[in-house]
Amino acid sequence: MSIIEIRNVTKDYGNTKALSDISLTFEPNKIYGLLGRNGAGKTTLLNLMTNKIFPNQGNITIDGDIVLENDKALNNIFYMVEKNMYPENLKVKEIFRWTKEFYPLFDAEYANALAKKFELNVNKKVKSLSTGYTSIFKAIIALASNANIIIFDEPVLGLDANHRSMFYKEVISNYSENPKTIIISTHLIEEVETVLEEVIIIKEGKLIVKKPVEELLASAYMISGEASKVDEYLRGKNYIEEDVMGKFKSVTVMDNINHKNEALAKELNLDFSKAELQKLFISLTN
Amino acid sequence: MNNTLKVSKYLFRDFKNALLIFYGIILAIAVLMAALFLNVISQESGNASFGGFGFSAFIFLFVSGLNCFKANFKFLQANNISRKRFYYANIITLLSISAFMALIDASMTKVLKLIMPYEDIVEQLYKNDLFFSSFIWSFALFTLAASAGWCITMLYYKCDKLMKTIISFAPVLLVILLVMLNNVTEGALGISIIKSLTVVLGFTNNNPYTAALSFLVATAGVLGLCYLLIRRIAIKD
Repeated sequence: MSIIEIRNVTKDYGNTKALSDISLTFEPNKIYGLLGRNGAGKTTLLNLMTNKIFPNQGNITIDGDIVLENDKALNNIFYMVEKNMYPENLKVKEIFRWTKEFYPLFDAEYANALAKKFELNVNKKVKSLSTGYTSIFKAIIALASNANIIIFDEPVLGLDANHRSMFYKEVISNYSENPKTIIISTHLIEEVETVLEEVIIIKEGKLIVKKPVEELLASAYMISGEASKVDEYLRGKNYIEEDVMGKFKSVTVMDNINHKNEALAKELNLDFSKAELQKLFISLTN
Repeated sequence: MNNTLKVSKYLFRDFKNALLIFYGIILAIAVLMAALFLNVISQESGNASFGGFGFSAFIFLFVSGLNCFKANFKFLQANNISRKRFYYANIITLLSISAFMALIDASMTKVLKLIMPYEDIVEQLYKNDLFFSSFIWSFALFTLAASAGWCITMLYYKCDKLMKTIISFAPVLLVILLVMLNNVTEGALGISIIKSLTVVLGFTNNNPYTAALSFLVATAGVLGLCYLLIRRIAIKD
């Protein structure tokens, strides 16, 4: 059980403000999605949380301990970095062994079982792994680390659809068996949507949304049917996304699901459905 | 085992193969030298003398120092090890390897002396062939070499392109400046530098311990600079 608190954190790179006065709390045992467009500041935030870089202002604590150069606090986190930071001449199994040295709770047996499941050859050197298998190898280490907080930065980079699905299932199964705080930073929102409990959206270095996924999805809904009838329904309403296929139209309406006009929809022969997180994300970050 | 020692253990792993190759080569050269002496030189003139393994160890440690930052820092950052712990673990590793290599160097000198006219650097410079003084002198010099290598690589890692260029040219500029100042002072600067070096290296009274102390003081200075560099070093791609 570890709480991460970020208080008024600002990070500048020269004249560029990567993060601006961010304050947020990651509660224990939840799966978070950290979303944002390219260059929004997601990786900067994760690097700050794990002492890879230093903030210009503010502080970050884990269970009250400041993260900065604090081995006790840092031991609670495992951060799967997007880039490869492992020595390329080491074999996968050697890295498992060394990870065990630094994370005593690292479950080597589980790591080997996952390697078998994902068909990762542990006798291969890191340099000989493809982009996809490098991601798999790093994700396996993170999952087997048994840290209280696991952070994944673009965990499915280069993975095929089958492996991506296996990865999401493994995250859920790992979390169910041993609840922990999991933070997933990714661009593949559609795929990860069902895994997440809460979503954090960063735009141009500022926190714009921190809400449970259900609550965010409840702030919009989709309406679909014959285009002209959909347009009639939309009169006076705020909507964000339109998908038109011939005479058929589907639109995301930015209104609470409790406010939808069911009588009118019935009269116009339109169907309601749940809003998609990705569409809301695009609208919020545009 | 505490975490600092675990980090040291990892850093030792990095040195293991390089050390094996280095001593494999040194051993081969030593055997070749002994064979050459026993079979050729001793039968002809008998005036030849051998030496210089200590200098190779010095170069080896300097190069090892240059190579022991970037990859290790990245791997340890991947495992969320603090810079402070990496710093102390690296000092433990460099001191231990320097001590080990100084011990091998001093021991090898004693063994080679039994076979052929071999003089290590300490004997050549100070006319002193005591095992302990050879060990201490080599240890202090090796530590300085490894720390200097480590410091330089860290400096390059931390700096941007412009600063890297400035640092690369700094020694050349320093030499030019010293030569100019020496000309201005009509040679007085050069003489005082040589006099100071003679004192700090213990040449005035043939005392290798004075030099060892100077090397250790310089090492402490270099490691102090390393601490200032590493404490706020950020991870780079």
